[in-house]
Amino acid sequence: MDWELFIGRFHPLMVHLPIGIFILGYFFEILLQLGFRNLISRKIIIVTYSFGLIAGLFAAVTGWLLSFSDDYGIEPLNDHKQLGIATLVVMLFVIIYQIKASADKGKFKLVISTVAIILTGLTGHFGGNLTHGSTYLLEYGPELLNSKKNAQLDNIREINPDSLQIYANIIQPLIQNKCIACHSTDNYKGGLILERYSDLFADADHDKPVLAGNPFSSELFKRVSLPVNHEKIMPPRGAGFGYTDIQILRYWIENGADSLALFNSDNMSKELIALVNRDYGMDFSPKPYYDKVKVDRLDEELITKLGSSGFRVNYLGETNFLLDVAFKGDSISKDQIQMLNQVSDRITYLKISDCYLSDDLITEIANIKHLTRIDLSKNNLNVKMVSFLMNHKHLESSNLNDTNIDNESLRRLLDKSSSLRIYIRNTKITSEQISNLAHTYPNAEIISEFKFEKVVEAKSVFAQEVAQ
Amino acid sequence: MDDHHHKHHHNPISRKDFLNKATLGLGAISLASLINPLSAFGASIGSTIGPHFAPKAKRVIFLNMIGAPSQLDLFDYKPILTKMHGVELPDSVLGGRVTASVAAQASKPIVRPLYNFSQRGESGMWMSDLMPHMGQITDELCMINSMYTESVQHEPAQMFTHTGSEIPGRPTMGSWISYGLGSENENLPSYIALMTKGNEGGSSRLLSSGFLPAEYQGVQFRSGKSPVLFLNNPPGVTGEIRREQLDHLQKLQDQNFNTWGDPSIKAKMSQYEMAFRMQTSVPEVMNTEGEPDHIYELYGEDSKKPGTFASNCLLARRLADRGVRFIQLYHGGWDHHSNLPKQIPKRCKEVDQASAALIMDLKQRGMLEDTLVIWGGEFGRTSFSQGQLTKDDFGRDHHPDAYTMLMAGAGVKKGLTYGATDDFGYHITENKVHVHDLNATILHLLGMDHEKLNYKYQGRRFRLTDVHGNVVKDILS
Repeated sequence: MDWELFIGRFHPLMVHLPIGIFILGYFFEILLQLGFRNLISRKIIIVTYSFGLIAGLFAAVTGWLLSFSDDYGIEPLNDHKQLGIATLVVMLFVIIYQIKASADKGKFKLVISTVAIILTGLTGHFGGNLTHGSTYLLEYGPELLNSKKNAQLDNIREINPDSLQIYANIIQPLIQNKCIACHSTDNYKGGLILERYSDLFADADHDKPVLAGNPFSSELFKRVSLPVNHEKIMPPRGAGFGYTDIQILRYWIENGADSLALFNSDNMSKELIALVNRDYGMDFSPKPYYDKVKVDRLDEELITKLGSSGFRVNYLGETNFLLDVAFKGDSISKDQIQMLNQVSDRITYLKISDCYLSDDLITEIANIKHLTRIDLSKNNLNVKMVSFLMNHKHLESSNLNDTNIDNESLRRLLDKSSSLRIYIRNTKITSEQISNLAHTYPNAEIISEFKFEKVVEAKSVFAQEVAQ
Repeated sequence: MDDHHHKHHHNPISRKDFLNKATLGLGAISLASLINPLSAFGASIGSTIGPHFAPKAKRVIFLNMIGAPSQLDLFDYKPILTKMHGVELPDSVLGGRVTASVAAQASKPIVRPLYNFSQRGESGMWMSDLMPHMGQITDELCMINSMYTESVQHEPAQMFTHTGSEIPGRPTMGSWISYGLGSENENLPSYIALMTKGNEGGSSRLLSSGFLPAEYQGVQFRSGKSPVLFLNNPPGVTGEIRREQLDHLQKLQDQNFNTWGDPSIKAKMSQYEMAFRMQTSVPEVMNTEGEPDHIYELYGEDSKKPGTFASNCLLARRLADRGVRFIQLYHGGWDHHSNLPKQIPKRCKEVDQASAALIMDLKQRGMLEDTLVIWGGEFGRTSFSQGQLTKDDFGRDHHPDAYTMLMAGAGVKKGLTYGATDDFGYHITENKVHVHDLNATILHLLGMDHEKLNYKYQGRRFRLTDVHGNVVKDILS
């Protein structure tokens, strides 16, 4: 139990009394000045102001007790305190003047009271800023009054994704929008300031806001990611951090919380890439491999030769000379593979399907440097095929439908390339093994025979009504 | 990109062509071979253009629902319609554009979807219970709820989806694509259409190559004994006789061409040759007897009956497997101005399982890596009843301002619901996608720049997207 703060916390409640009473007295004074003598007398005004002054003294005492808490900035607190004292002093003077001065000084009395009322209003406003933050009053007002709001986050789409700094472009504006009202040098609730980058690592009443590398021990992350109804969620009012913002904050803290940190698609989760793309229009999805490498145009004679050897050959695009090659024949020979090997460093898509490619023959195929997609379906292949595939580190998709691949071989392959998209329909791998594999290699996409679940015929609303 | 069909023109030659050639001289000839990297490939049959950039999709299967299925009963879930069922649609929702038939209607009571909706799959995509199989594959789909088009009438709107123009005469999307990419199979046309028997919906007008050479026209395959009309040899004519006949005809036509320089002579000959090859290739691809039972089971009971949508879906997969570039399935009977409660479940039963099965069959074969599947009609339907709303009957009118299309496969984001409409599903509120945008996106997925794929006709360069269209980058994976 802390008596000072217990009583002090009644200050925001108490202050409304003197403000209300002063204003009431002021209205009485105006009425009197307008000539409603049968309604109002000077004495009533003096009594009202006096009640106000007494209430004001209580407010001052509770306020003084509250000022011992560490939640408020020194300067704005001093402004509020001194203005409050000045208001009471002026009010005391007003009361004395109302009693002492002669009856014909009515106008002058009203002028002095007006000053006191203005002081009351100002004190109240500064006090409000301390409790609610300085942006509270105009937050939902016209944009003209409030140009800072969200400005930086709205402009984010114009920034080149490669030069987007997570702290400066996202985290800092978020803090500015959602935290700074209560956690600045003007107003540091919980002893927490979040104005500068270094503040994030400074001591506060609770844990340090950010512990680099460990979001779940970082107070800032913990508090903004609490359930919406939790009493400790931050910010306590208004829209909190969105899911995307929380995930960005987590990513940033996990990766060292550096002030100059950039997004890096290599260590972003697929989810985060999708979120950032959806909410901030930043595309961090990894570039397709075929856009990363450049190869030269092929010798035209070679193309003709490949064509007559039974291969269908295509460039990927007008200026992308990587090759998409498919074998068109029914049965592939060693010579044809030799032919293929002449262009192996250009191929990125390869289809050698349903043509008696055996484990022996596949060893004849040279390493295909840029291979990303291969279709070896409907061939009698297993162990040697897996060894072949394991040599290709850029491989993204392998169609091994209707081959002899078994569970053991596939595990060997997925141990090496765990994020492969792999087709294993009609192989020796059982559906039970597939679900185990999916569990062991969550990044791999293992595609096999598809079956619908049984469906029940839908009932229309009318039919449902009749049934009831 | 002067088309190769004009290369051998001797006569007539336009004044403009003459001046062009005179100024550029021989340089122009060598330049032509430089800027056309794929001309060296005998492999890309029938096209000299090829993809402009690396494509995601090599082929397209368009499941075209003719008559315009109600997006509000199937895909675009609007709970407020249920809450306000029977209440007059507020004028404030209607907005400025009111069609004649809507204006003529005194009362516009809101109609709820008759079947429950639920969120399906990991993506949580909304899907009506009318589509229980499509509901199982939502994580493969990209649902665009913010499609809009120009015309409020079927024929012009269908033409618009196909050609980018409401008025017939322009080449259809399949023609543009076969013109741009050619075929991967010299034994089959690159653009094939299949229509549901007895419920065709589509018409041959929609398969027209317009001003593109006739070889890019869509070829309709039918169910039954003779999938392509007049393809079989008449009794008594063997394949050898036919071959000999064609060889002689070729000689005559070559002479003809040398005299007249008419490119349609070449086109006609290549069509004859294609027809000859198709005499063996078509029966092979259309014979589904070899398909195992579990595949029939996947596509549903209907798939065993030739001419059904399900059977056509199975054929579409077989055609795609053989490298056909553009396969278009038509299924009519979606024009539910009245009697929607009785009609729409029937249509859904015909297409739901087969559509989903096609996508998953392609996937399990690894073909969804480079095949794009599109599902949808020519426009949407209104959120209020056309005609009287009774206890168990109502209809919905045409509505071009908001409807739904589905996409799946190569290069498209999975499990994405894109775009949004207002609470009544009447106007688009987010990420509008015009038909031109969709067509530009389809070409983009095929590796073609919709602004570069053009053809000069009557002094003007024409495109599928006319002078419009933006690629919808948000839905690209």
